[in-house]
Parts: sequence; structure tokens; C-alpha cells
Amino acid sequence: MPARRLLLQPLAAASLLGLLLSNPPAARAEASRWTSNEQSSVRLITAYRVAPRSGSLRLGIHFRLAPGWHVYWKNSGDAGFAPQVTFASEPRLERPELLWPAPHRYELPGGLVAFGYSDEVVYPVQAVLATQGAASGSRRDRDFLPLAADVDYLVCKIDCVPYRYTVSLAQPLGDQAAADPATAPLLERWRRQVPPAAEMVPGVATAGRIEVSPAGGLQLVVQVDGAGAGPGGPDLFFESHPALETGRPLVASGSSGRAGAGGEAPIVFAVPLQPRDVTKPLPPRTTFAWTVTGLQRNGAPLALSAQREVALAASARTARARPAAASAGQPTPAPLTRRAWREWEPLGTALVASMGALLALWSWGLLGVRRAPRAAGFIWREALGFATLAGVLWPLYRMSFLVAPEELAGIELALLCAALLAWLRSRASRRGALRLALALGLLACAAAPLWLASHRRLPRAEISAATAGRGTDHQRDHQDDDRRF
Amino acid sequence: MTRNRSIARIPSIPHTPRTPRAAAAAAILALAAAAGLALSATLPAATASVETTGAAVVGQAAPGFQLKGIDGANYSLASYKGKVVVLEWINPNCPFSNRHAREHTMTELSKQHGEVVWLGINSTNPKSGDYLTPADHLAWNKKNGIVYPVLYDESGTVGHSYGARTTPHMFIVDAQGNVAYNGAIDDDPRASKPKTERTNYVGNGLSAEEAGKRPDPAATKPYGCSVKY
Repeated sequence: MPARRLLLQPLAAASLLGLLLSNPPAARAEASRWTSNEQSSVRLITAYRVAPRSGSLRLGIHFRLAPGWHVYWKNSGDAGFAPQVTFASEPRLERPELLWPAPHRYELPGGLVAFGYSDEVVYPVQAVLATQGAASGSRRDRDFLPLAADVDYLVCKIDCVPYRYTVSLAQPLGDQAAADPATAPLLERWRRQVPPAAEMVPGVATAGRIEVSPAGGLQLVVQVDGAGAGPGGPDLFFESHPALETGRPLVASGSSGRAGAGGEAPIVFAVPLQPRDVTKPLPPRTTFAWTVTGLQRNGAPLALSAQREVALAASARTARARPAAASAGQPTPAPLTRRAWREWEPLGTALVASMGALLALWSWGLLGVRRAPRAAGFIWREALGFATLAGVLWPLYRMSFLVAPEELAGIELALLCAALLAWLRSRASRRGALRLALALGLLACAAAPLWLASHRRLPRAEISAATAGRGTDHQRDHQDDDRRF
Repeated sequence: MTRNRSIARIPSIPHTPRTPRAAAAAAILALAAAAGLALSATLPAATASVETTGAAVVGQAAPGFQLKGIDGANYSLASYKGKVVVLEWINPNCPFSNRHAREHTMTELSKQHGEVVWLGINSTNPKSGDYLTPADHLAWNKKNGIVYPVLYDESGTVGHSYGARTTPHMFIVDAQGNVAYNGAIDDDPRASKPKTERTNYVGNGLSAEEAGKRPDPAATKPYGCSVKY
């Protein structure tokens, strides 16, 4: 017996050594070795000490980054590119899919932006381990799953540096799966940061629609219902679109930092869109994919993703989206009638609103045309006044698409002022300077909407201001070189 | 008496039977105005002031410019009217610009299309660590065989007017002065393909222009380092 033990022990040791040496490049554990460079370290991790022999498999690409350096989300933003992970051919590994945790926005000099992650990130990988082939393989094939991932990524700070590594490990397999106490919680933490589809979040909905921006261009309005803004405020990230450039989203409402507990005001983003190529017609419908981060619901942080098809070019709104193109040499300018309508629509709408308000006032006998209250037909005239007033709402609504908010407020206040002066005049004595002054004031108030509408489309000036303002941002950006890519 | 006279001078506002109706009318009009205000407040399209994407759009006129080259000469886009012009945003300290310079991607293309005006534009801010003096840039050009003019846009004005985001970021301006192509040099940001297997968008675009056609695709996503504005 002792002799046999003496013989077997070296054999067992040699076998173990052989097994280990037969797999030299791969770490035999729940994580590969770190592959490091000056800016970053990367490794492949799994959630298991012993993984199940079949079924869902949780993996991850784990990055640690030097201070100030970033790797990217699936849409990298204005520069850079997303990491590409390719798993080596392994018959049992099916459909490995890289998942994308909620990204962060990094402001770059010159108003550019990047979307990605700093310090540390785990890109979870969802895969399926198939059973076929296992029975026919060797014992080692049955007990180990070789995993090798080719990771091609770009890491950026002031400069960008591309890297490409292969990270690998041999994952032990068993009938009883055992989670790894270090990597399983890490993977779980980052999996929770992958925004779920909005449809999977009860009580929350998101939708998008195309509208005409105050600048006369297209804008995509994204609305989120059922969630509040988190402490840092909500943010919106788009995946690249082939035909349209998406600009910087602006939170139009819902950014007040209310704790989300259901029943909040919707969070609304307005995102400028610009056709990449005005020589090609836009498709009537198109699909946008977006992720909203920085939300809060029932006190818990929330991010969600969505993919929605929206109507694009079916109406005159699309034609309105190209005034700049028309003036800048667009090959097929809009017809003269449409251009004339576009030019005069705000003034015409303001005129209709003013006339409607005056007609309502006249109908109620506030413009000095006195009739006995009980005279025949008086009730019909009053009814006409109410109908006219209801009609005035439409031009006011239309004006909201045509003029800046300040101008719309001015138009509405002018109409209110006209009503007030008409009422005062109706109560003033029949003759006198005051009555004349009130009449002149009334006319001025009624004419004010026309003047305000002629100052329409202030946003075009705002565009110029924004462009000029970049110089200021430019100076500020250069004060902090550490944030520069 | 004085008091009575002064009262008498104030125009009287008689209390007429019309008052309730007038007050109601004014109130309703006020409500309508308030409703309009509330309506406009709920419409983000009306209230949001959004920043434009700021990119030169294919089919629109290319923004004009006048810049000084590293050779000291002045260059103006308007002076090339009637010719096809390629604009290449460049930064020798960017690994992507450097790779294409080493591989002679742009220099070979500019020689293949000799009738085309090829201009490099460097929009790097002088305060940036990536900034090179014209002399250093010239030395880098010579080392990499770059013979086409490189212009300095230190203020970033021209870069912003085109919406240049990366180095390299390529634009083709057609003979009519319109943007014909806006995007990447090729389809291989990761340098994972042999040079001969890459789709060179600018090369294809120039060939299309020569054939009297429009580049297709006319817009792609540029890749590279961000422009160091």
C-alpha cells in the first residue's frame, strides 16, 4: 500500500500539473487575468465558481480606468467608438450579447460630447450555454468551458488610444452551479444599471413625436410619464440614426427634481434634429432608440430604454424644417405659395386672433355699440361672442408654434389688456378725453399682437447667439485640461 | 366745494345694467388668455429653445472661410469655385490622424484625384496640449509625405461652422460650392481590415463627383479623436 501510494501521489501531482499547463493562457477561475496598459485594465469575468452545464450564462467585460479616461457607450457621441467584443468560436456558447449600462455624458471642448464610462465599468454579457456536444466531448470538455473574448476598444482623455486584447478563462462546469462571492455581486450590480425597456417598468411610459422647433427645424419630443427627476436631473441618450443628426437634448419640463412616486408631471425632452443630407427625402416614418437616465420612482433611481417608430415627413412640418436649406441652395425650394404662407402665417394668425377678440368684445356690447339688453337678437349676438372667443383659442394655439414663448405671452397679455380697456370704456362717460384715451389704448392693444408676431421666430437669432456663445464655452473649457479629450 | 368740484372733474363711470355682463366678458377673455398661456406652457415645442446640431449638411452651401496655411499663405474657399474641394480635419497628435498619415491614406487619395483641391484644416486650440507650431506641423507633414496645404483654424470658427467633430473628419465640397459628403474617411475605425479591403467613402465620393453623380453614401459618422477646440 505505501508503495502504491508513493507511486500514485506523483502521478496525481503530475496529472494536475499537466491539466494546469495544458491551459496556460487562460485563467482557470471566474475571472481572467487583468490585461493592463497605462490608461486601462480589462478582464473577462463570469458570475460563477462553477457554472451550470447548460442554460443562461452571465459574463462580463470588466474595465478599470485611470483617472480622467473613458471608454464608450454604444453611441460614443461626437468622437471615439464603442468597444467591440468578439467571442472565440465555441460550439456550446450561443448568442453572446453585450449589454450597455446607463451611460454618462462627458462635455468636451467646443461643445462636443462623449457618452461612456469612467473609473470602472462592467459591460455585462448575456449568453446561453447549449447542451449539445457535451456528451460526445472529453471529460475535460464536459467539466470546463473555454472562453476567449477579443476586446477592441478605444480609451480617451486628452488623446485617444486604441487597444485590442484577447482575454480568456476556463470556466469550471458542474451539475450544481455555485456563484462566486466576488464577481457575482459585481456583475449583478452592473446588470442592474442596464436600462430596462420602458415596457418592463410598471407604471412608466415613454413616447416620442416629431414637432417643429421654435427655430423652424425638426425636433423630436420625448416624453416620460410615471417617473420623476432624480437628484442629478434626467438625461437623454440616442443611438445613432442613419438619416438624422440628433442635437443636444433640452429638458423642456419635469426637471424640478421632484421625487418620483407616481403621478408626477411628465418629463419632456426636446431634441433638435437635422437631416444629414437634404438632397434625399426623409422617410415618412423612422425608428429612434433612446435611453433616459437620472429618473426616480418610489425613491429608487431609474433608467429606461425605448425604441419607437415616429412619423417624420408626412406633413408640412417637415417642409418647415428646411427653411435654412431653402435659403442656402437647396436644390428644390418649396413652392412660392407655401413659402409665402410660411412667411406670413404668424402675422395672419395674430390678425385673426385680434379680430376675433374685437368681434367678441363687440358682440358683448363693449365697443360702444349700445343696444337694449333685451332687444331682439341680443342673445344671439352674445352667443356669437362666446363662439368667437372659443375660436380665438385656435390662433393662440397655432401661435405657440410660430413665435417665441415671450412673444406669445405678450400677445395674450395684449388681448387681455384690450378686453380690460373695452370694459373700462364701456363704463366711462359718453364723452371725454378718458374715453378717447381708452379707445386709443384699446386699438393699440389690438394691434400689438401684429407687431409682436412680426418679431416672430426669435430662435433663429438664438441659434446665432448659441454659435457665438461657443467662444465663451471654449474659453471655459480650456481652464480644465483634465476633462479634455 | 373744492372737494365736490374735484370729484366732478373726474369722469364718471356710471353704474349701468351692463356691468355684470361686461365684467363677465372681461373675465372670460382673461380666462381665455390664461388658458392660452397654460396651453403654451404645456407644449415643449413652443417653449423649448434648443441648440441646433450645427453640422454642415449635404446639399447645402459649404460655409466659406479664409485661413492662413502653415506655409504662411492665405487660403480661401471662394477662390476654388468651380473645383471640387476636400476638407480634412487633422491633428498630428491624434492617433487616428497619425495612423492615416503613416498609411498615406489621404496623400495617396489626393494624388489619385489630382484635379481635386485637398486642404487639411487643424482646429486645435493653441492652449491645447495637442497644439503644434506651424514649423512642427510642417516637419510632421514632410515626414509623412503630406504635400497638400494645411490651414490653421486656431479659433475653431471654421471647424464649428462645418460641425467638425473628429480628426479625421472629411468633407467634399462640389464644384457648385455645396457640401457633397460629410463623414468618415473609410469604414474601418478599428484598423481591422487590410487597406485594400476598406471602403474609402471619400475616394468613392470623388469618383462619383468625377462621373457627375452624387456620393453615396453622402453622410457617414466620422470617427477619431475629438477636435481639440
